[in-house]
Amino acid sequence: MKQDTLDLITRSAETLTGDDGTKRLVINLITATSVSLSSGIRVKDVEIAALRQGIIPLRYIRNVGTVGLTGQIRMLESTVAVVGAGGLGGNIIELLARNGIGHIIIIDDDRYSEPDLNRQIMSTETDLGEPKATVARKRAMTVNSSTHVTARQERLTPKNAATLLRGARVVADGLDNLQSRYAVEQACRDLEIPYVYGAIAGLGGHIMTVFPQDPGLSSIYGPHDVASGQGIEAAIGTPAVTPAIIAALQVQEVIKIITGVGTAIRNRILMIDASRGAIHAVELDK
Amino acid sequence: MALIKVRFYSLFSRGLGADTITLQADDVHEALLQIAKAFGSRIRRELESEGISLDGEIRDYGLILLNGTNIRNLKSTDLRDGDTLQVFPRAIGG
Repeated sequence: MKQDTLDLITRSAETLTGDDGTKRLVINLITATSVSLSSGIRVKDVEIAALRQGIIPLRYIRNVGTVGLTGQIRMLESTVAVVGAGGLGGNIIELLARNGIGHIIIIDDDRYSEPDLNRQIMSTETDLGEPKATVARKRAMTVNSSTHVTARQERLTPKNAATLLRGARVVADGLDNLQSRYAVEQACRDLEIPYVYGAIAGLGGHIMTVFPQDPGLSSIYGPHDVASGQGIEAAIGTPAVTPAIIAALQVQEVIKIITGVGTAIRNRILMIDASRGAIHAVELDK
Repeated sequence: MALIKVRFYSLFSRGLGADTITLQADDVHEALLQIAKAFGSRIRRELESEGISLDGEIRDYGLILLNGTNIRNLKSTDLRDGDTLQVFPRAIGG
């Protein structure tokens, strides 16, 4: 980045005094966008350059107290793939964009239909019949213009999984079937990147982060060749709140992995039972 | 015969009205038969009263782990004192 652009960012910074009296240098969205337009560099790169000089883009001011300047830079520099843009996936994409993930890859071959409206946060009545991947892309870019979003309107298979996921720092699971989950897990092992699993049924759901060397899905569902069919959600459905809870925790896993703040949920399933307000951890055999 | 713990989670513990039971069995198959006989119909009946209808045996709609490994992955299904079977609903939705 040219020195005069860096100088422009520094000159554009304002001082913000927090409720506790702490003074911080910040840059607002309009200024970051105007620097981007005048210098011909992306808003994301303006934000990264600002953060490197200790200037916080206002939109991330509530993030940096937890993840730090470095954590925010890492998020802006990261690519996260989301496979499935439905109940889990839609909520995941929304939160990734709000966190400031620099590049989101959305993979989904489906289109919105009426039964999706109860829980798929990206869907609206006017989007019925529209491709989930492109609607979600539009929404994410509206939430955060710094986030670059790639929409792939195709079905992930064992054959194309590694190609679709290449370049991702981490992959988040928004899927609704085991076959695709195993394909994603295997591709993540091949690409040597972590995979954040999530699944829901009724008022309950699971979360787990699988690193390439972890036993992963097989510990829960059994060997790939025999694990198939539907889950209990076929009988009890997927009401509105459950995917929001599980997706939020999945995104937290993604953020922990990227920023290094916190410890990932590995080799154990975190099981949420919203019917009783209970959270259980089932340790898996490594 | 091994004395083992069976831990039910989520919908199943709600249906059963308890989280943990103990039973004696030589192997996983025998333990599952006991669970199905003693608790399977009870869980199903309780859930049916809530309008939730489940087909088949608990192993069809549940996930069953022995000490953190799916029972389909086990090299030996023999049980030892202190083993824990973990039983929870098979959630796949997204």
